[in-house]
Amino acid sequence: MKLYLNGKPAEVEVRLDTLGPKDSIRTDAATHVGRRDDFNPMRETRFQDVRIYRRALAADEVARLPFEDLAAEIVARQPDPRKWTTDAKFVAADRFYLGEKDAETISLASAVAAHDTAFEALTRDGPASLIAIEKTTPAYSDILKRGDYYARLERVEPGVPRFLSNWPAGAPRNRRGLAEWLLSAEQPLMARVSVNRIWQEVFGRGLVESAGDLGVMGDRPSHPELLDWLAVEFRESGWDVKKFYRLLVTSATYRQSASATAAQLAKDPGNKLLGRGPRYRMDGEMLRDSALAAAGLLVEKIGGPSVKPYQPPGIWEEVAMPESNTKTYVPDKGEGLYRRSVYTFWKRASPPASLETFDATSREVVCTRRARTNTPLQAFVTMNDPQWVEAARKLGERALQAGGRMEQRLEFLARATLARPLTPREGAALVKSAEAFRTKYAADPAAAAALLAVGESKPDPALAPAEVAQWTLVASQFLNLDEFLTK
Amino acid sequence: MTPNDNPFARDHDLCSDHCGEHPTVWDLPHVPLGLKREWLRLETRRQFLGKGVQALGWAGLATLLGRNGVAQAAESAMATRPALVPNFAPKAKRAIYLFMAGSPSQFETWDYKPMLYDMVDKDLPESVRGGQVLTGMTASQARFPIAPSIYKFAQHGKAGHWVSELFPHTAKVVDELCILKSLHTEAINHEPAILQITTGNMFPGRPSLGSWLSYGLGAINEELPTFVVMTSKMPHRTNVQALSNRLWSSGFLSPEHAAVALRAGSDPVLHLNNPKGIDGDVRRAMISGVNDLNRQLFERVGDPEINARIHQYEMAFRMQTSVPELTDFSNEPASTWDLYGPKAKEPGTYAYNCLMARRLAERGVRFTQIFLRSWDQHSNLPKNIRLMAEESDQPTYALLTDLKRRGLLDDTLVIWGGEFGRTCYSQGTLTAENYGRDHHPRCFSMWMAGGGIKPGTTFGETDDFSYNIVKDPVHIRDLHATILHLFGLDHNRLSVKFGGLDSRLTGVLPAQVIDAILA
Amino acid sequence: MTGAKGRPGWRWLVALVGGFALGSAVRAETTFYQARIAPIMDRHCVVCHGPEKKKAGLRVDSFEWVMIGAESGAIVKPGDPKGSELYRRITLPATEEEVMPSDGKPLLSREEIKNIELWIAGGASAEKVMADFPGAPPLARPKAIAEALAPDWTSRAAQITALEQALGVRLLPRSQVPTDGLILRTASSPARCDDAALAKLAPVADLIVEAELARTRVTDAGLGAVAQWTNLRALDLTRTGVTSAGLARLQPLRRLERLNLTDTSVDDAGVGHLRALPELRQIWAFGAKVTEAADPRVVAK
Repeated sequence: MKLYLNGKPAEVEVRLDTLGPKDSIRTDAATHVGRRDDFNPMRETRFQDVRIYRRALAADEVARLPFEDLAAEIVARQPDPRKWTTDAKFVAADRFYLGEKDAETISLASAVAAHDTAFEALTRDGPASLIAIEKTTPAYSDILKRGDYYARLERVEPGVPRFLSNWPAGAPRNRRGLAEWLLSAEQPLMARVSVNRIWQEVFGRGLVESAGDLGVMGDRPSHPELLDWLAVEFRESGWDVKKFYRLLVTSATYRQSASATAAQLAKDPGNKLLGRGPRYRMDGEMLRDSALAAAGLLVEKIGGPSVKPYQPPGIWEEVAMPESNTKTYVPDKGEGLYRRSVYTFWKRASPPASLETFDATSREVVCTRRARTNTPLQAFVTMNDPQWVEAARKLGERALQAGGRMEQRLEFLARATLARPLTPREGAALVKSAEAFRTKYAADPAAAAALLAVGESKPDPALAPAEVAQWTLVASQFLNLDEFLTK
Repeated sequence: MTPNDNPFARDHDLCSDHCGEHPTVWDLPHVPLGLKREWLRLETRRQFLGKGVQALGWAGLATLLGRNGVAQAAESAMATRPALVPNFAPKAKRAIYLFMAGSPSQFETWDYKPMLYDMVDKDLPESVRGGQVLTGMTASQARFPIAPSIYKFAQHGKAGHWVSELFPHTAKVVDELCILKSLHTEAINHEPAILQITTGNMFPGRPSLGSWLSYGLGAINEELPTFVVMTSKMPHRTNVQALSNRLWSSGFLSPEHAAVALRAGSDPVLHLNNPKGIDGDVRRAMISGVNDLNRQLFERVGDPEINARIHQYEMAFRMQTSVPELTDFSNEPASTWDLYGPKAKEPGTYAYNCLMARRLAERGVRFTQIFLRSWDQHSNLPKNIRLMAEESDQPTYALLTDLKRRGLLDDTLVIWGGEFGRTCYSQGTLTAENYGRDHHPRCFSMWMAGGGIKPGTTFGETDDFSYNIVKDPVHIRDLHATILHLFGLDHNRLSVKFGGLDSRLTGVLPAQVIDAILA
Repeated sequence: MTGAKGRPGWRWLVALVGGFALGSAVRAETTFYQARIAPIMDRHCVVCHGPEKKKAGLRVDSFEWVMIGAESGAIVKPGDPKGSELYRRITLPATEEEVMPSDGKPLLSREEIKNIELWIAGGASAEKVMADFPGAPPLARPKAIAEALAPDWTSRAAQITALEQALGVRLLPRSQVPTDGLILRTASSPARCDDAALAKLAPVADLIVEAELARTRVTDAGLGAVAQWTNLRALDLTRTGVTSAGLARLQPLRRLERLNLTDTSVDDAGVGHLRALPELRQIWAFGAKVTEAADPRVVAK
């Protein structure tokens, strides 16, 4: 069997061929075209011209078939092209004349292929990036009543919200004008909103708590003069974000102790008045990065395609379509497991499970303020997720490699995770658990070996497995301390 | 964590508006009076929400921090909405939502249309279609041949409901059901339609039904999730649509109200199990050490958050025992397996999930949603809907029966249905044995049972083609209003300030509780 | 909203109303308006169009106000329902912005609309009586105000909270109606709830309307305490150690409606003790030794 596509031989993939040398393809069964069986017709398919010959056609005959013959018939039927139907124009003018006869079109068309190839070569080294270019014709959109695609109301063109105050004189009412308005000194919103967001990130709550709404329906600022001062400072610095972060983290307010007396807590439980330093559970991404950093596993490479760290099997499959290209999650090997969390691959229908547990959003709708919940599922992540177990193991190895007696190793872990020495009482509590772990793994080498097998990285062969297992648990304790999880 | 950290619980002290150095909202110039009133109303409510809602996970942590139904309700006796106490005495305490994703045809299930047998392969009259926009999948069809159900119907139960022969088991309990034949929606494609019925809005980002119940009512069992979702293994791999976490997300509510996905197999809750090499004793010692240090930290720092952390780890440890108990079916009596069928032993099947749903209901999980996919029968409907019915009929019947005999059906609402209906004409070629059906938003069937629903009833009627509704239309928001009503919640009052609106599950258009189907 | 009183136009309106009121005073037979139309207005409309709010300048809390109409004009055109703004608004589809009642409040029932239609068609009279409208469908009776299931708990909130904390159980209001009683809830830690805990609940015995004791360590001894909860309507003893002997103690629970004995060792003799409970509607006994022959109210299969 030979197949031709638009008169040219096409490649054929033979899925099934049980025909013996003496067999014939003659059969009583119906031949289906464009479908596999009775039930699954190809959608949106129509047949224009079906002919049956009693002999095999030669290649040059086939080449004429799709357009040349048809065009001849069309011309014979109706010589005046102005009276042709759209279909006839398509076949005779577009496909036959421009496609096969007109030299200029043919040469241009072949040049398209060359350009495509060149473009492909250009994009081979990295994904193409989308950029915005203004269209030559004005864009428009129809207002849909309650979003109903069938209930079109008026047509609208680009503009800016009417309520924006202090519109710069002469600025066009488009994106360009909006940009000018945003940065103009006459309106404070952009600067206030920006500094409030950064403040929120650093202090855990914004000066205006409803960081996504600084309008009349939002919360009132706790320190309006400060907010204004910061906004002006930020704007006058030339919108220098890095400098602004430095301003906040070096401030006396930020550097206060987070400790609170009962009286302070009773008067200002949410620390709205900033009487003490910020204290809040860090975001999932920060936690994962911190654990990897403490373990010495973090790969600090910048940029590049997304990576896929550990994730239990089955999570994507439960929601994906069978034909989806993100149906099966295959974790990376090597450095992809240890990159910063900002590089983690994001499937919005099923975000990274361990990050979602820590309130990461699906990224489908804008999130100006992430919630901060406190669930037992989070403890399961930091205790049992292979990412965290491996980090604990590597951190434990670092403590062992640092040498010294048990007390010195604990001090090492305290510095690596809490950045401070232990109190004697803390040391005593940790020694107690460390002894329990030692007893366990000294007596159970199989358990030690099993624990060491978690994660892709290999254990340090110079260290005794039982000791590594023991210190994996001690390190895991540090990684699960409130003080480690909390800013 | 303090109540104030909840993003939706703004704890503006009303007093500070009046006594503080800032002008009160009343003193602001250029603010219309109506807006000022609105502000005042909101402020009042925020106070109550601030006290009522905790940004905590399993509500168990909340008890520790003083969340208490009585204390709250007493404090806010004059408030419009005391948190976590129903507006009025509920009929349903729990719900199990059997979500037939992809949308089963109403013709082969619950909406018997005998007239269609007289019109086989005739074209759907244009007057019936009435300008309905079709999907790209059938819009180009030259004709719309009417396809009656290939499956026979018979009357069952005292109520004499017509039930398709595909559901011989469910037919036995049809007297428990209230069959709704007049659901309708605006959406004609899966994604907007499924979002609309799971979250009340066809755009993503809204809280799902289960999240609203969690938000409005809290947990029954504070040691288990309030809202659980389970996806089921598919009996076949055609006619499948994608699901996504957005169907059970908490939207603009705190993430604690999102569903916890209960997974099939040995790790039903993500990372529940200790890694190999760590046994229960080691874990206990590890957590004891952690909590010892956390207690010392609390003495120095004083942050109540730290106590919540201690509680969080203790609860995690308890869950390592209680969740396996939940998923361990070995103590189920033999009668269970007779009832649910052998597939209930295979984790992740629909039958398994139905049995799990009963166990969750017994233990006080507020809302369980089971998804069963591949009902999207555009083609090969006769063969594939049979497969789906065979997969789901007995377990559904078993769940209803089991709930009833254990006294749980009384206050457990069971809901069955998809996201829209299907066409009375065939998508693709109609033959004597085969046809397909395209999406149809104008009418579809669902059923509800238990939890205060009037048993053995039907509600709503469609025309002879099940194309248009002729009596008692039920929009999805009416369905939602009714479900909330059964839980003792007034859908107009269960709202959260979001996006400049009092955002509700039922949205901004009027929704009506369907009184006629309430017991 | 306080400005309305000061508007000059209102002075003579008030006077006019006075005149109407006198004219229609004292009649022996109840008029159709009083019997049918006024209750509909009261139920659906007066909250916005009454002495308090007067939205759109409209009040409908008396026949006279109805006939005066709104700022925009009359709402009733006697004899012509279709031409009456009142009728038009109440018959709009729920999706229309102008539909009344507005803001998602429940719309009028078909019967209510029919009564209004007939009343307008019959001349929108204040005098006609029931007999003048033979075709008027009866209105559904408004639901009776719910009876108090238990005493108001609100004054005892502190005591309730203390008990919860001491016993590790929850005592939750069943609803915002303070006389709907409390649910005793133990699902979070059923193992903490035992006979001793139940005994300690004596101070709130009269408040407990539902007791969820499934899977707790409650035994027959604890049922002695339960028997003091005289306002109890629903009792769940699923998978507890209670026996037939214990059920004999429940006889004081005269208001008990639902009893769940699933997976207990209770038998027919036990259920026999409950025969005299007048309100008991349903006894679930799956997995127990009870047969459905013991009592028609038993569900055992």
